[in-house]
Amino acid sequence: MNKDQLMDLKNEYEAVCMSDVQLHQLQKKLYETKQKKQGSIGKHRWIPAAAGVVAAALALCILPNCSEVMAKKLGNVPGIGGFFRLVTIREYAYHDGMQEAEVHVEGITADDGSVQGEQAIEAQKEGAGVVNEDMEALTEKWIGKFKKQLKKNGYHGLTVSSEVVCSTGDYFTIKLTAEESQADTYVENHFYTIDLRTGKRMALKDLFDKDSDYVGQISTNIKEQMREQMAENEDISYWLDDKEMPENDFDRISEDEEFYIDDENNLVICFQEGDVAPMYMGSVTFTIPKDVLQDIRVR
Amino acid sequence: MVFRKSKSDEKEEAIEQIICKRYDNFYRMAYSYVHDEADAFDIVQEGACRAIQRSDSLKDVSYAATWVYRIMLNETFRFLEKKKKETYDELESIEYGRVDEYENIDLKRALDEMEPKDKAVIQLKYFEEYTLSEIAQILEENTSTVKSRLYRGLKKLRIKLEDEE
Repeated sequence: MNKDQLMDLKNEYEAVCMSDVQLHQLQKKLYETKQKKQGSIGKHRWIPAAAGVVAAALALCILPNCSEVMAKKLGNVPGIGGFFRLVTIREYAYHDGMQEAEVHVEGITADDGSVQGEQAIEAQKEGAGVVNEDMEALTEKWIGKFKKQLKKNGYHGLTVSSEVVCSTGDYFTIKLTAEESQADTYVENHFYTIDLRTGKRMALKDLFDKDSDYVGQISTNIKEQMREQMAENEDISYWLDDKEMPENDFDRISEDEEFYIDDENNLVICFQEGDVAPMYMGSVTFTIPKDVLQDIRVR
Repeated sequence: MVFRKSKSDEKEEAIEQIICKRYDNFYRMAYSYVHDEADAFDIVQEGACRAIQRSDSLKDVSYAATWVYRIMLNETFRFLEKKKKETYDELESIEYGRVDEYENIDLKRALDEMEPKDKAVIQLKYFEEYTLSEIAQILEENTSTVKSRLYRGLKKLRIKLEDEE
């Protein structure tokens, strides 16, 4: 026997690899284990934050601010049609060395000064109100969760922000993002698309013919894209065609899946982290080409 | 914004990174003992969960690589023990039933017949290219024990030692 033979054996040893399905399953399991562990830490091991830490903490809250000055400073973002302005609806910050939160959320307000009929302005105000309320409620929920975690041991972080991601002559979309960090970072996105013609928030179904199977058509296209991407790049993985856990496979989008409309009038479907792919894939989006949906789109 | 991480988060993260980077190495190692894909996968999966769950007991992040390897190896040994008990009656033929077409059949058989830890030392040294002191950390043995395992193993393989330290 000699060392060459040992090297042959090494080559054969190295040829053994996990299959993609196994890897996928391992990733899933890792994620679950971490989640479970965090849960049990939360339940059994929390200790009250030390008094000194609390004293040193700086917490500030600014309530919805719609004053003229503030609105002027932030508002009149070109590109959102001149009908709406951005306005700060919630701010919150907390830092104590261990825990950190940065919340700055801008909602929208109808622009009184724009040259439109009173009716249109009223409709826009109403539309803006609905969007702001929803954004505020979500933001409060995240802040509430963060405050609860302050009592627990270990690092917690929260960042909430909003931005206009897209605007055409017909629509604009404002995106609200929360980033919650513990051992992992979890990102949650919500999209609000305002139809500038009505001043109202659009639901996914508003884009399509009433009798159309938009859910089915979009889902089919997404599955095609998933398969294509996975075939092209082995680092990409979606919950699809999983032999081990078919029950976890992506099937259909929900009727009110998060979405926006990009500059070229394509529909973009946005999933939350972990919804249709392993967490490491992040918040995945799929742009559904215009022509795929042209027969059923009404807007 | 820079978020500060706690020590225990750092450990968990380091462990997770190692699992994500070296899952194939762990899988190969397990497979070399159990000769079955599903069993090898179970071992790695079980080991990975154990490592994450116990990440706090890792003393220092710099040991994470050898620490995770140790857990995987122990998982493999545990599996072998269990299997041995289960198949006590049908002692023959379990281990070599699956040896595929194989050029170095004698060498492989010799490896398989070794005491599991001796085999681990050979594989860690020559296939995974760990140093003797790293292997010692993985097996939680002192370097001289590891060395004697290596010599014994190589002798069984009838490979002449060249310049081993």
